[in-house]
Amino acid sequence: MTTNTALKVSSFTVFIMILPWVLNLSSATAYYVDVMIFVAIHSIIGCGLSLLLGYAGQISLGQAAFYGIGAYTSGILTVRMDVNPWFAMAAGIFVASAIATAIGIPTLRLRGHYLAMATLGFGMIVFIVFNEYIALTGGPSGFGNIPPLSLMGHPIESSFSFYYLSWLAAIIVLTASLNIVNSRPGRALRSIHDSDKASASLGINVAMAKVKIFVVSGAFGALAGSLYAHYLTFVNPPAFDVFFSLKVLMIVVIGGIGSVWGAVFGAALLNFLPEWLVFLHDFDVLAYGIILLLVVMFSPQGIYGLLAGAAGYFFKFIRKESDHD
Amino acid sequence: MTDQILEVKNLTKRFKGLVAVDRLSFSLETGIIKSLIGPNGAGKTTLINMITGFLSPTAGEIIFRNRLQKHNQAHRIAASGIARTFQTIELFKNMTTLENIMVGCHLRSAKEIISSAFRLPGVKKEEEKIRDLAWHHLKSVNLEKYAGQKAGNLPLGEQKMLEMARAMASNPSLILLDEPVAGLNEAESQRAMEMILSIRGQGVTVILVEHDMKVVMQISDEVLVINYGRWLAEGSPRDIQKDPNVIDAYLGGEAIGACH
Repeated sequence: MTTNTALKVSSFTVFIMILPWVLNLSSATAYYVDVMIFVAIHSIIGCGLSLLLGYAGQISLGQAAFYGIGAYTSGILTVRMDVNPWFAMAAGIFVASAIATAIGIPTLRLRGHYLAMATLGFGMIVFIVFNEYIALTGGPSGFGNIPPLSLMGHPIESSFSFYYLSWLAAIIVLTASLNIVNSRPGRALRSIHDSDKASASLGINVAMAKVKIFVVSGAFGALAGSLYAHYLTFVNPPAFDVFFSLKVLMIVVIGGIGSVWGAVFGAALLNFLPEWLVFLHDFDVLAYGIILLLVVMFSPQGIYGLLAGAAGYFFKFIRKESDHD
Repeated sequence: MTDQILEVKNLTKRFKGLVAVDRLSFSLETGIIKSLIGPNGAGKTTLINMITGFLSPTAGEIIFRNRLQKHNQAHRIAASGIARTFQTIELFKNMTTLENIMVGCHLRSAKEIISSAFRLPGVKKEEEKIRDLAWHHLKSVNLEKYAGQKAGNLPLGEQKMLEMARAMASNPSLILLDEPVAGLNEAESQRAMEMILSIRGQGVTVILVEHDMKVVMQISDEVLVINYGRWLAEGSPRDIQKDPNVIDAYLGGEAIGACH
């Protein structure tokens, strides 16, 4: 990690650590802590898709399936088999990675949008399984009583403690993603995005590189899903439908495709915007749509691109001012 | 017997009725520059694509370093020590000049996703090694001043040099250059020629596809002429210029005269 990236990550970590204390100062903003938990969870799944879409140039419309696999594996193992929640979380990540490998190997060899089609279908199949395999998943009504994660005998149940757990996971995922981008495998992915012919001529196994990052995106999705299940202690199918896959795609695109940071900004906007638009009552969906449209139209680099541009301009301005002194 | 790095035997490529390369055989001595010439559509790029694994032959054999090439994927061929450049420049446009060469070092490094993600021991050291190697190759083509710039923004001449430097960064024993001076001005093509000679100087064998006869005749040790995918003539530049078959079929008396 470059010093610049390390500085950004550590300042962001400090901001995240202080935030709940600030939000708790007023009862009007206290519930924002809960919203922030979803920002963390969505950042994790968004980082995975950001690596796949922004760096390998492959679209997945089935991230909700990995999210669901993580959530259901956690739920089923802990509730029905009394497995330790941490172990169940690891199992969910493992299952999602294995499934991602099985889907990725045949589809990522093909060029074009086959992965989009395949993942769309995959997401629907998984959704149907959640609904229909009632003996295991509880069917449309799902099941509850999923135990919380615990640390040294203390269950992590309150919003306050889960906030820190989810953001710890999110920051680890963000750091890992930034590390991948700025090292050998990440450069290989970015090179494939520009010219897969040249990448192959330099010894890069193009198909395998795509499969590997797809597996990473699946693993991140499952981690997010498992956190979700242990936080809500309840799972049912609608949380894992194709619309959630589209939401993850929006998080990445609106946040900014060029950087994994975009996933964090996208997750924040898509979670807070509905809260801020509540005053519009029935028109909130309309306003939501218009705002997202405006972002895409006027900042193709997403919110991250917009902020990075503004920050660059600001620092330039400050430097100019200080030159005058 | 001289040391042969590459042997091509009866190589054939058929595209739906069109025979692009037709029972072509030749061998390549280690450490020389061999030019491949022929009119447009003679099958030069098809031949390069087969040797580098981008196309699989319909029939025939390619033997590289005494080993029969199984016609599998391009990345495996690259790993066996064959590098190439492309007729239409294939740089990683959105990556910096330095990063382009760092990708060129892919085969000389090994760290994978998980160790990179968590910066496990050894990653930092390998990253430094890659960076040092990349700087070394960048300096060899005098592109240091462009190190942090996006490769897509470089002038054409520099892009061609960068592509060669990137291919060299993979530490090949054979390099195939597909029209490295096409579109360059006099000064730029002079630099490219010096680069090609310095590649040979480092002990790397070169196959050069080029239309610029002045360049071909000046720097080649051997020339292979193909026409309609078939072997037409082979020999030193001097012999090729005198060869009546070549003059008839391809160059024409005037073009040969211009080279003297």
